[in-house]
Amino acid sequence: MGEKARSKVLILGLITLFVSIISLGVGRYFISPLGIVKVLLQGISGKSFGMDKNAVAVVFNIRLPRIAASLLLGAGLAISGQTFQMIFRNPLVSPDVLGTSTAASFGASLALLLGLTSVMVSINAFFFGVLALVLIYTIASRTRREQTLSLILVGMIVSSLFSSATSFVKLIADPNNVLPAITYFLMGSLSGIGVTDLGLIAFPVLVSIAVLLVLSWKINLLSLSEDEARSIGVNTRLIRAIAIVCATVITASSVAVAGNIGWVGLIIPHISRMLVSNDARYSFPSSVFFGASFLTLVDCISRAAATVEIPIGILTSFVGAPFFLYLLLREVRYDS
Amino acid sequence: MTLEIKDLFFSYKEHSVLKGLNLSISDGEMLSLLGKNGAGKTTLLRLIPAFLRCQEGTIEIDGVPVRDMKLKDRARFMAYIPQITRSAFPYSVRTSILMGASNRLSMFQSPGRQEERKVEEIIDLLNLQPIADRNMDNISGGERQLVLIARALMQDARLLILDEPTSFLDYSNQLMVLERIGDLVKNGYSCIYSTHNPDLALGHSSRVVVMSDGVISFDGKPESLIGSDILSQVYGRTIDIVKTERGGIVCIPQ
Repeated sequence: MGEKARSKVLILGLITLFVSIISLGVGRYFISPLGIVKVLLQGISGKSFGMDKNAVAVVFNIRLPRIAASLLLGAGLAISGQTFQMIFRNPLVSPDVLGTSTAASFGASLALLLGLTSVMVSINAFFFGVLALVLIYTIASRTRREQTLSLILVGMIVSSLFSSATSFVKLIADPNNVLPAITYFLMGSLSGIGVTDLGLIAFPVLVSIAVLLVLSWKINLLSLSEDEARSIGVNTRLIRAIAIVCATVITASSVAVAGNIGWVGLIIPHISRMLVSNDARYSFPSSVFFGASFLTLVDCISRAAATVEIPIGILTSFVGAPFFLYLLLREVRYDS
Repeated sequence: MTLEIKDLFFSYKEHSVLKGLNLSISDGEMLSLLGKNGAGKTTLLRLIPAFLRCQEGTIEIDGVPVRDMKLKDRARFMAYIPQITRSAFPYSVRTSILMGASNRLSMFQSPGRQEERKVEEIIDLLNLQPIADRNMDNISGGERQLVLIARALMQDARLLILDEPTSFLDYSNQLMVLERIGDLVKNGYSCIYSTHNPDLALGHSSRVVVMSDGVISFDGKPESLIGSDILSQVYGRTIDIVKTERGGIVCIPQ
């Protein structure tokens, strides 16, 4: 099992690399995959590989930060979704289960309402995302119910509060310029991502992904019943807390720079479990690669499909929902 | 290894469940727990690994209070095996057994070759080879119980605590699970399990403990129950306990 799963993860890694190279070439200024390799070599080494300077500029200044962001956020959202699914022992849970995205969305909307800079919009969104988690944890720890159930319930309450607050911000926002900016931001898009945004989120997202990957074996144990995990001798509270913090940091970072990108965190874990294994030691890395490839591919479509760029949040739903339906129907047929 | 329970009191709010219970279990003993619904069997079994905190009394392993032990140390002495286990993400049999090694790993460590080798040894010991590559949702209830027992062995736990291990199993699986546990007990493990089936308890244990009204009303070898009216008193109807020609002990309700 282990060897087979490891090979599958390796293949997914190669697919991610392939998708990244193709995506770097797609756009108004088309560059062939071989050309992309040359552009990358030229840009990194400084030697000439016969590629136009404009091509190097387009790839390095415009496409690379954006594709790096799509790889990072795709990977992050997928592993974050899978972590939440395992913590809450429910395959239908997505990264916004605790209301972190809703809170981060409020943070971004508030910053846009106040006319803050785009960096401040991101920082504010991240701050509110993490603040929501602190609130949820503090309140949930005061209840007497089972921890996972309290987290879900308090998460719903906090999420609902922030959702109303966002609606209120929209209500009082100037309908001519601020309201459209908020609406567009919340739709989810990678179009505005530059090196600064990437710099803001790269460290927290990469560290969180790394921690979750290293913790993957212990996260397996979170999907057992509380009694079983305790009987095995594992302190689930600590593992759960670390995992939730990492998954939340990823979700909040994603909203901070790209708004709401749905479905990735829900469907990618399903696919990787289906194709690779339920064991997080293998399904986590495969989710990382699958999520990265998926979001990069969808972003490619959002850039190339129409003259006006389609917000990626809309496209992930368009691609994700039918695919999820297909999986659901396939499963029913398999069972019967 | 000896588990010693002294003067155990436990209540859920106003409802008193255990009222000064005393019990001890040593290596090589297979102890079955009988009693009506609500007699406190599950409460007792959950108190032993300190999943619940008793209001009064002590539970000690070789003189060390269980509640003072670290979680991972406790896991090396005992394993609690619940009635039903259903994971939202069913793992393979091998992975499920491997999970038992987690108490020996540090926070960020995954099991390695050594642990995987031990899994194979345990699979051989419990004859689980035919199902080793299957997923937990693709095996029978009895096999699932065996996998959980295998996981307990992976923990190095010497005392197996099973809450109604046979309740959802067909008759042959009930016997199979208890026989395998019996084999382990012969090799020095100890086990305490609760059951609603007195016949199974009489046929598959070295000691029968009958609980009623929060205390132990009988604690002895199955043979000592022959001809006694303990079960009749506990279950509120006449039950004859007789020895068969082949030497087995059975209950016959009148």
